[in-house]
Amino acid sequence: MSFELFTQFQNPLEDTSLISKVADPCIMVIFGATGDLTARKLIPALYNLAHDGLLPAHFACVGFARRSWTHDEFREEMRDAVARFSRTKPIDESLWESFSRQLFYHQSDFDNDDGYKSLQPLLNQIDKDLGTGGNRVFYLSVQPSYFPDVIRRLKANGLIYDADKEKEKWSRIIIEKPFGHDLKSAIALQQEITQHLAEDQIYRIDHYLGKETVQNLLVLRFTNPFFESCWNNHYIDNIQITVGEEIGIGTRGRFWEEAGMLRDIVQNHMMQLLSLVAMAPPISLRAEAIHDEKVKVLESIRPYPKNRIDDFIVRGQYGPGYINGDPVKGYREEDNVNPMSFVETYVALKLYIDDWRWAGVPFYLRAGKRLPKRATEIAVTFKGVPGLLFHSKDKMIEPNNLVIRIQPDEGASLRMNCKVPGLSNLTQPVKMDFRYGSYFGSTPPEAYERLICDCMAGDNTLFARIDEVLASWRFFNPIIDRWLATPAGHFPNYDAGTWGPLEADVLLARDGKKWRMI
Amino acid sequence: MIPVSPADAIKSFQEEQPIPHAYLFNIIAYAHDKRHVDFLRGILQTVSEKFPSRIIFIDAYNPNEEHFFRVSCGIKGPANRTCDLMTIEAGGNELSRVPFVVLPNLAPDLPIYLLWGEDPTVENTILPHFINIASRLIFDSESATNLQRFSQTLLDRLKNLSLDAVDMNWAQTRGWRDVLAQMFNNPEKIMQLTNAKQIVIYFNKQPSDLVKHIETQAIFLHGWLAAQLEWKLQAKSLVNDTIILQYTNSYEGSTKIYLTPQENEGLSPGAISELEILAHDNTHYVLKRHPTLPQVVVYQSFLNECFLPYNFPLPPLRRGYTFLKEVFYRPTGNHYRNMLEVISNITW
Repeated sequence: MSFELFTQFQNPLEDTSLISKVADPCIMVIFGATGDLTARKLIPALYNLAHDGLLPAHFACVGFARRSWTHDEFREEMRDAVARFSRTKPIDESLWESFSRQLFYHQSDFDNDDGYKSLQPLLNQIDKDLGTGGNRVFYLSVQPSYFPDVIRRLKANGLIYDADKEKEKWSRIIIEKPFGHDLKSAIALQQEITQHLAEDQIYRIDHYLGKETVQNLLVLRFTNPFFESCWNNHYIDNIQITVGEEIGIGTRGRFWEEAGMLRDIVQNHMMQLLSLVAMAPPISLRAEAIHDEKVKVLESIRPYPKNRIDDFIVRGQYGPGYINGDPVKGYREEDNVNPMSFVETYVALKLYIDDWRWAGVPFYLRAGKRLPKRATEIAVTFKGVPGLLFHSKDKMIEPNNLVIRIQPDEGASLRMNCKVPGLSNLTQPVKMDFRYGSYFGSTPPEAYERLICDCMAGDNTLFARIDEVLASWRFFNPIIDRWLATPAGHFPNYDAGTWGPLEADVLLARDGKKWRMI
Repeated sequence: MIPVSPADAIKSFQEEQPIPHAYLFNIIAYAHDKRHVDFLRGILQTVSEKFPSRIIFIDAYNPNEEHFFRVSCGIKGPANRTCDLMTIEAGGNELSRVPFVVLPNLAPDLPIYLLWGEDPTVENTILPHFINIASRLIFDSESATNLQRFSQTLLDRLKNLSLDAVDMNWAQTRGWRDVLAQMFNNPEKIMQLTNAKQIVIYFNKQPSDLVKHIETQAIFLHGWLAAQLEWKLQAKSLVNDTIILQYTNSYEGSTKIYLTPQENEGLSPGAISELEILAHDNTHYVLKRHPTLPQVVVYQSFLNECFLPYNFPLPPLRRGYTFLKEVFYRPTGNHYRNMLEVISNITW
């Protein structure tokens, strides 16, 4: 342990009893700044951070993209985006005036070295004018295939620093999922980018981790001992995780044909939810401690037997149907989709985590497009009672369940049994319900606000570490191989507006269980 | 009847589903003069819009009656987030009945916050009944008539109490404290501040019906600096409404603090508008509150050199939700106690 630790400066003006994260001065360069993500999420997030006084005092954002915009044109476009997509409305004109002066634009192709060369003097000038201190965040809101090239060019042009050489300033990269499209490509991508970056410079964003309700999972589990004491195979019968969307693929036909539900949602978002639900308590709230426990979960998932993968996982594709009474087309009729496509828009799977806590407890996961409603939730069903008391031959006692609603109607509910008033011993399940919206008046920060702020503060707790990503790919790779080798012969196999294919119900029925009616 | 699409009808059905009653905490609010009654009603209005809670408001002001006791109940707040409101009007001999009405009507298992519109160090018939069950005491040091005695008594009380004490005047200085902590954030800068020749704190001199002691926030901010930077008071004087305090600092130098009232129509009474710091090496800082944005603009210069101005965020504590979070959630912290120690040793 170095002497420095003992003599670390303690600012007498900082109240250490109050925990707050301070983001460093920096410039955020957004690659792909004219795209959808920037307009819908990134700039509104930065604006809201400014609105709440959470943006560093010295901050600037530079959009880097192909379109030939000026600074002012970029600012005008972003103003429209904020007016439409910000969670705080209407736009605060005086705040916008100040915030927009921190927005800049740099036109270039991603594969044009001159663009990177000319970016450096722009950033240096902004450092001088706005005091951003040389710190950089590069947000790669681009196709994953561009990642290695962009990073290589940033490094070659001195825009990314060597982590072990620069003490006065830092540089970080934020990359969106998917990280690779299978295990091999994920490893290759990691090898390529770590030629230029240290692991602690890489922030793999999974926006689910920025959601208040997902962060609430850890608070719920680790500040309420009566939950944690039952959080194991002695008391829990099964856990269902659902990510349901009523919308179809929209205009993302091209992307979806390459990705599918497994890569878009299951391999990343659902595995993050699974690891937070199943992890053991970490030794501290430090990022590494939490990541370590999450990786243990992912590495404990029992691999499927190669010749029985279909017994554990179901894929589906929506056909035409109705959503809220309105007719909608099937996946194969969507724009930019192959009319004979075998890409899945629905996945249901059963898995086991082979550790002391979870041995024998089935985890059922399902994710689908064009389901009857939008709902992301985790449902923990507890084991039933022995049936010695209060049972009747016609009616079983309902098991308790704890449901954590991630979105919408964020909150949690606990189902328990009560006596029906009267002279008999009839029981009735009732719910205790907590709704975020009822208790906490203001709109919580959007996920991207939290994540961008954390990256600027150097906290990677809510970002995916590489071993988490690879552990997840290791589990799903055999499934991907199997599906590539055996295209689904019966697509589409569920109507839009239903809860998925019949095979998904059979998956649970074999265990004597049913999917929760949400 | 205008036909709506099935999707719209279903959407409105889902949105109009009744939301169950929810509470985050109990609030027992007390005021005995008109200006505090009005002030607390304003805060409670904001609370009911942001946080569902059970509110019991004890209104001890009635110019027409000496002994009175009335209770009324109702529901307050927007439809999707309702509060229970019980109003108890009581005064004179009837005041002693109040705890017996309040205590059985608190929502169990939830925190109890006292929102006290009176100097909490002054003896009061009903406060002792609540102080032992409350988890947080929120008060306004504006109600104190003697700041020194108030600080001394409060410090003694805080030693024996397990609850958090939140002074709204202190909460109002949070933004400036954060700005200073962010600005002077390394040993060299802290030395600059500790060994400053002179610091001027400008505050809005416009009083109001509610705020008579307009210098309180400035006194608190200076007291916080003195406590955290370990200055020792040498002298205090008053010159033309400006309070001047002379301290010695840990570098054997002398630091003079000026608390100067200034006209500023756009700010609430007593709010701090500007700081000027002259460091021992003649670096000059001017920290000016931006007229419209939630920011402080810093102008820094040294002898013949001027730096480009830069900004720090100054959280808008006048907006309801931010202020309420500050008052209802933030723990007291040692800095408040340290500041009280300093000002309790000064005659104001």
